[in-house]
Amino acid sequence: MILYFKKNSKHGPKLQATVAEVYAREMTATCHTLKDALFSTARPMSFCDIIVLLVEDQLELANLSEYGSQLIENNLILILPNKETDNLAAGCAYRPKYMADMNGDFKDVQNVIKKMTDL
Amino acid sequence: MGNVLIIDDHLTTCTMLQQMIERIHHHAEYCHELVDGLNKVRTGHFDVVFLDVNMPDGNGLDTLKQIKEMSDPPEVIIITGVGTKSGAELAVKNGAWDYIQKPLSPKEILLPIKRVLEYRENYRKAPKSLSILKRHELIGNSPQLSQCLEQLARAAENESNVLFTGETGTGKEVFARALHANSCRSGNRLVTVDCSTLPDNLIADTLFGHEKGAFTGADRRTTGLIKLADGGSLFLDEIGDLDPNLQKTLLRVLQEKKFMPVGSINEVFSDFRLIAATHKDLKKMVKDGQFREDLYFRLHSQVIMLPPLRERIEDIEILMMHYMRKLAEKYNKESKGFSPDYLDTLKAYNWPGNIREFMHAIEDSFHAAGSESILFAKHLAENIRIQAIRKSIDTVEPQISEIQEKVQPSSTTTLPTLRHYRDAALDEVEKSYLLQLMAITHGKIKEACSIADIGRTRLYNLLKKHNISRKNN
Repeated sequence: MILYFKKNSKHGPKLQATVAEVYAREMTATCHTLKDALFSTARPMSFCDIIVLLVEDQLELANLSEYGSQLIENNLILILPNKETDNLAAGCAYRPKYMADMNGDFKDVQNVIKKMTDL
Repeated sequence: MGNVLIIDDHLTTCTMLQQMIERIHHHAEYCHELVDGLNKVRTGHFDVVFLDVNMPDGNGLDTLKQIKEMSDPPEVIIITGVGTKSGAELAVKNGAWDYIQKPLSPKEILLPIKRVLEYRENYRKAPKSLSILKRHELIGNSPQLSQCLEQLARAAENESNVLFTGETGTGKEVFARALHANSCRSGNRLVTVDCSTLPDNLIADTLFGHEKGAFTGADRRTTGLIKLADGGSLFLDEIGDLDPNLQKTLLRVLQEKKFMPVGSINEVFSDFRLIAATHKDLKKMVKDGQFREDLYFRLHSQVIMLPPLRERIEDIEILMMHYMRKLAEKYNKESKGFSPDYLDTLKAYNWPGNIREFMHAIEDSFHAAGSESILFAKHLAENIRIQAIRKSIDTVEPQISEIQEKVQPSSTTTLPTLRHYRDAALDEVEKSYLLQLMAITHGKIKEACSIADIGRTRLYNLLKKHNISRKNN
């Protein structure tokens, strides 16, 4: 799994800890730049099955368009600044398996990962 | 005026049908054998074929399948002396227009004839949408794929729900995207929800959204994806995984185009087109009480069954070249060529994971080849090669024991390496096949290439390798 959040993210560590409860840390590559995160998925034989991106603002969401084709080829869980219609609409373009809200406890993200990995 | 062909072994049935059809000013002709009938369908321009099931040279239901695989096939009305439910079901599944039991009355014949010819007339007048269809990633020219594309083109012209069925990896999502892109809703969003990925409690929230305070943690109102699809299309992937309670709610939404977000007392309107997909047998699920029958019928208005890759072998080469180009682009490398054995092996494998597995296999072989510019069968995964070998062995079964004797080590010798053992076996199988091939074709290279489905250069190289002469056979 590839987990992305900004280095100074307020919500990132909480997300990381919640995800680690259901998905082994050693099998998770945590990245702090989008470039690193998406570069990892483009590597040959990367065996990346899930990408979790914590996108904290609309600018970051807009920046995802640069990596659009890489994102849609993967099982993407997109965590948005909030679930306002504009953000959901922008997120839909990347064909995520699930869109969450960063203001929650991330238990929903945990449940989706559990279902995805058939735990 | 419509053109009708009658394929029936009874002269009286043929002449009676011909007279009935000519009386309503259409042309009709007949034949008494399936082989003749197939030839006539191939060379003529028929709108309707009346096809008998029990024919002296075979079963009409098998011929039905062959007719429907032709490009621009006529409509087929099955006529049978012994009608069965399973026969009728099979006929409809294989694309029959109707299934009529003998003895034939004018009423039973004239009404379907009138309807089918009306349909053909409209079909002819309709714009040839397939030629302007935006195909996106829908690669291939096989009759099976072309049939699906024709259905897709027709579905794109109307607003009814569409259900894509097919094994995992057959491209249901790609078809759904192509359908949306070719529809009048393409200016609006296509919203995808994968019902197999989301836990049941999250699907309702995702689809319908919620009001602030609807449940613990709902500190603000959220929009459901059904509302987001307003004006566009909603693609429900793996709809067979949808919880029974949600099936009921979805049915109501489909009927009324309205729904209530979780915790809301106000209805929300959304004008969306539903595109659904499943790899499951929904009909069986209905029978087993796992899927609502009323929802099944709602979804069943247009069903497009996507063929597994093993049934469209002729698309493998073009698909392989397409993905090869994409890989070269993705990794910024030169595209690679391929040897005939690479292609033969791809064609021999049965691809249980369909296009998805195929794409991964091509990518794996692309990387396995490293800097080599030509891909060989050896660059493919072992399981793929083994199945190809097994298939080739099946074709020369009588020689197997002989080969085993040749390559089997005696108890006094040491076991060879797997590679040597495998290569020796392959060589023997290959040689045996070529000897048979030359014997059957009397050394005619063109015919041999056609049977073996390999190129002339490849065949000459193989003959040279095994020291086989064309003339000695």
